Amino acid sequence: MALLFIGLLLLTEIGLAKADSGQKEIKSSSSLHFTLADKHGFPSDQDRESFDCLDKIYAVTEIQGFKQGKHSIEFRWVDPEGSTRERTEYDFHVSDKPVTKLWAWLELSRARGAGIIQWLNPAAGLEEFIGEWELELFVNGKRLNKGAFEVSC
Amino acid sequence: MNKLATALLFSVIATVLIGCSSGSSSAPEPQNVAGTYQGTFENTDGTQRGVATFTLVQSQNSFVVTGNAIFDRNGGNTCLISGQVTEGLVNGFDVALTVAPINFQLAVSNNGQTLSGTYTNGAPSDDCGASTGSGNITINRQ
Repeated sequence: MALLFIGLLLLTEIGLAKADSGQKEIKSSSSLHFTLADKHGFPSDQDRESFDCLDKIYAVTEIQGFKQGKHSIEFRWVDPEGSTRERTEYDFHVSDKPVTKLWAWLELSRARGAGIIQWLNPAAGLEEFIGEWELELFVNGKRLNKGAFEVSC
Repeated sequence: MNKLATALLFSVIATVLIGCSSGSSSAPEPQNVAGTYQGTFENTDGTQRGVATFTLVQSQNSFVVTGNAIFDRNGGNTCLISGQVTEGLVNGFDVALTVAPINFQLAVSNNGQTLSGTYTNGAPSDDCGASTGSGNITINRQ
């Protein structure tokens, strides 16, 4: 009887372990692209790889495979010098929908007074922003994706 | 000093000044959407337009939004029916509201001051006229 009980207990343990490993096997994934805003302020459907220096640059991700509930996301904007220039962090909710779409945007502003010589040099006051930017995407503190875009004037 | 020399001097001074300053960047984070918003709505074929007023409540650290919405078409019937926000969810800059049977999909912009997007009436009544009950809406924080 005792042996039967131990046997049943072991089978239950194995079953639970399999269920646990089954849950961990759900793979999380994400897409990442860059675009401009549509007329409402949603990211538009047209992907872009390069932007004008005064564009509002949208980074858009569609994530899937995360458990329903609360999670956190961070968009890390790395400038052409390799320095983290901005961070956009917020909590988000995964519902029963298969895909969760999230976004953030970056805006660059000319140095004060640079408008005076803008006609001579369109990049005046924005020189440090010209070049290739990187966007690193973190979910729940783990890097999930990375992409790049070009800024020019 | 002629005009060319003046322009050159001016450019050199400006360049030096700008060399001492740098540009700035911003990447705002979403804010709590609680508040009163007012603006306009217009259906897709442009036959119905009016004023929309939303009062939204969002608890701290919650994704759920409640509240109510009032649609006024200068006394005329409108496809949009005033009522309670029966379902509301904020996810970052994305706001989904239902004032049954109308679904609103709105984007937060303008530093949290504007909600703008589209609406769809899931059960368009005669008040929607020939339109399908969908349209655009933009409301601003009061």
